[in-house]
Amino acid sequence: MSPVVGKAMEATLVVLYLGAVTATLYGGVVPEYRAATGGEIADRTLADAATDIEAAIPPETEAATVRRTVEMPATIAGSAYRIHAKNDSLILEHPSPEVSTRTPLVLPERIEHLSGTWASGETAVVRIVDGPDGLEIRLE
Amino acid sequence: MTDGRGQLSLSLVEAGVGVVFVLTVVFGFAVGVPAPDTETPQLDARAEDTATVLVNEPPRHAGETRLAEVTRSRSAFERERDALEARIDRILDDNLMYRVKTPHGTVGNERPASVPAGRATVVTAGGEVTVWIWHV
Amino acid sequence: MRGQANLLALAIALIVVTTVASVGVVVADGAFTTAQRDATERATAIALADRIVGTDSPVTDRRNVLNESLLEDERIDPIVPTGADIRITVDGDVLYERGDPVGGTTIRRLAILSERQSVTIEPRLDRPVVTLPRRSPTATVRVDPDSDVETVRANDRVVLYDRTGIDGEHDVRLSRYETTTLEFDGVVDTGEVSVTYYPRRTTKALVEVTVSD
Repeated sequence: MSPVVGKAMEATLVVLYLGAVTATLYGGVVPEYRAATGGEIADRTLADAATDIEAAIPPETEAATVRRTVEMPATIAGSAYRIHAKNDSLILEHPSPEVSTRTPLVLPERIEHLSGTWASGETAVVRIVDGPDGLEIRLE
Repeated sequence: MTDGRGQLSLSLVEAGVGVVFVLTVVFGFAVGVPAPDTETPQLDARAEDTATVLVNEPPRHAGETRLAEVTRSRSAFERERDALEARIDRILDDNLMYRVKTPHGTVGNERPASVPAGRATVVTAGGEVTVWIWHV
Repeated sequence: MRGQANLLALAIALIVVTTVASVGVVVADGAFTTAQRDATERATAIALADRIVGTDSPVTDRRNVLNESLLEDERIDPIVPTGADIRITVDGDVLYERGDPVGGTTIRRLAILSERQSVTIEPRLDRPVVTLPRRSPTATVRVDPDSDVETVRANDRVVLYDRTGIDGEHDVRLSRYETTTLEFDGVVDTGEVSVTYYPRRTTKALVEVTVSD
């Protein structure tokens, strides 16, 4: 067999091998790991946001309006996401279902109302105001 | 695997290089990131709780609270330090050690440098009191 | 021949690289499992434990002081968040439980459990002076109508006075900072006067909050 043919076969074999490995990795393993990592980061982001909101609640004896900025990463797993408040919990919405997650908020009884949404990439502010029935928490 | 010219087969070398690259990356995640330190925040909370309990305790004699009594003066500290130690021993679990520093003196054990310890500070009328807590 | 030997060497080399790569994937899997954190469970447990022992908690008198008479699960229920399995124990006794939080995160806080007791003393006939051995915020003084006591003093401060004779049960506020001595003027027969005071017994209590998502 002439060396050229031999080399050509070797080159083809290597190219095919690379194609196969790339397809396997990017088809199965890599997206799964990206989603898992994204899920972990989303968990921690949400836990930090929940802690920040709970820490911003003023003590009972003070009548105060609180306005605090909360830090969040700009993207998770390459996409923007939203955090919104519903039914005394925080929900993180993300295009990938494995990354979306939720966590309950521990709030005192004085809190009457919780609402609002944060979009990643914009400044996230939590505002706590004294409403007619009690304290209201708004995510802006 | 050598060809007639006495050189190592190129494929072997290439395979060797490829293996080294892959193993370098694998080494990166085999070592991993260090586990998070969950011990210190718990100890910090325990120190904070201990300090709060001491600050709000009724004193043995006069004075507003036990800590205020102890920090009032050097002589008050000397007189009350045993009672303070006894009280802290009762509050803490047996596997925890403590060190309490007041403006007039210190009670407790020496803090070892390598062990994670929690710490909390309260301000009393007599000055600052700092509490350190660590596992035995 | 040499061409085929080279091809064989290449094939073997590729197999070696593939094996190493798959070992790498297995290691990555393992590394990922060890890097998991349960961040949300931990945050919820810390926040809940803080609310329970904090100042505006439904079960505490002051920061880190639990009131034994308030320790009921109905009182805690409003602040416990929904959506997770939670168990709260005080000194090992379960105070609140929803679901079974197996394998969750546990956070511990130290607090004092304060129980109010009620102790009644009857002063002796010849010495109508009662020194309360423990501090108490109030005391209830019961005086029989035919005992002829007009004034009751606490640490030389008049707390009850009735010119026609004190009669019945009266609550009296006492000093928070000093030991109190109650004096009754007049001659008192045994059993005609009784003083009930309410010292607080405090013991340390470990609050454990376990949360499982």
